[in-house]
Amino acid sequence: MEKILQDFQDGLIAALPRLRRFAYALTGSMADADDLTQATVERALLKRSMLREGSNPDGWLFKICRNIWIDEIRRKTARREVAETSEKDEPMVDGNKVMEDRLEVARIEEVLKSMPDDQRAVIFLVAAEGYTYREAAEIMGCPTGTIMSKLARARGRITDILLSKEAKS
Amino acid sequence: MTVTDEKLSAYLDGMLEPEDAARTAQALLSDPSLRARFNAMKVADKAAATVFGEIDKRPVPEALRNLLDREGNSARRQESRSETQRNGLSFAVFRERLKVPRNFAALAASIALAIGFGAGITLDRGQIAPPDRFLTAQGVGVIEPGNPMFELLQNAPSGQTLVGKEPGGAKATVVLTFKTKDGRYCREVEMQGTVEGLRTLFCKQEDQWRMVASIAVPGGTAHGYTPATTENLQVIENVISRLIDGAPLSRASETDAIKNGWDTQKFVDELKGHHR
Repeated sequence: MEKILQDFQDGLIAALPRLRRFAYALTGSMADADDLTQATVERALLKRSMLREGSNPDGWLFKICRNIWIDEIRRKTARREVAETSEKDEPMVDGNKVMEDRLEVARIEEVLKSMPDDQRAVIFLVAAEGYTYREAAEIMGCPTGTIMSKLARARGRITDILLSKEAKS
Repeated sequence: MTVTDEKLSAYLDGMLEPEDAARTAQALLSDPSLRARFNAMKVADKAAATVFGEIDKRPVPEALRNLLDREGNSARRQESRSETQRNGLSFAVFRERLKVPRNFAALAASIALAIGFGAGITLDRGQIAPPDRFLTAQGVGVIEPGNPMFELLQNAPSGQTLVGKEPGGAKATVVLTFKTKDGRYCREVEMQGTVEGLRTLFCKQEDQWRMVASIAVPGGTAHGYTPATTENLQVIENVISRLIDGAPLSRASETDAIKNGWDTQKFVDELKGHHR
């Protein structure tokens, strides 16, 4: 029993970086992402008998994470946004650091932040983590067609930024 | 020919039907600006992944580290258990953020009365919107052998879903199994009707399963996707955290308990022997 709990905790520790990134993709805010990750881990510990053997623990955690985000936190976003402005003062990204393709992270971050939560989560799942449309649909609780269109919209918006930047330089 | 972002995006993932894929490939060959857009879209994926990875640089908050630290975890459990005794809340993370629902008092009162075995079920029906017939008939009150819900509670492992025979297919799934501090077994069941869902906690008492607490959750199978509101769930979770002895049962312990027919008689006998 104790061994099972330990194994489960080890699994959670291994999945934590991906869970945090997903939470960040979903919330668009690092502060919210950490709160959400914590809530997800608490819930996962409580509901761990629900995780079936052989199933993908990441997908299971992402689903829990998304459910909590929908239920608990989105209502508070308005309040959080006020606090968020102070976070901007912290140097989250080194101003001089430029990505390989010479585009600033901050600019992409900005366009990502302006997207609906689900668009960000979908581009994270498919483009950054390599989930199939079907797997992403399962996690997001929507049809694959919706994944397809959300992904295209998210990619399209970043692509617009990339192309406009190129046109300027 | 114009190729939409949606086509381009699906092409990038190899998700287009062969005919569509061939047309898109042809268009990419003949149209330099489309090619530029397609290449930029590939960069967009990397750019997004880079941004999401930025959170890796931020230190993991201490509270979260403690939660996953084995020793810290057991210390935290102790702490949250004594907190539970004080104020009935175990979800420390949401304690300060939890918005008390408008109907909290009514919900809490209706459920508080239902706690305590043998005190009878005094759940305020007004708190449960009229569920489907399946739910009314089989999900509420005392569940005896012969009832499909009894079969579910008695024999189904967590995660296995019972689908009702009624049109619309109400569904019930055990989502949590645990032992109480006084040695009884309890199981939390998620029930979905077509328009309404229930989260209900049943505890084994002699040969019956008795409802201890139940809350209505919005949504149902008709919506396809059912996010229960956490405010409501919190009420059930408070009840669970007051009853639960330690952690929920692992799958192996649950399997054993099912095999033994949830027999706690031995435990009761031991207790009686002790008192004599």
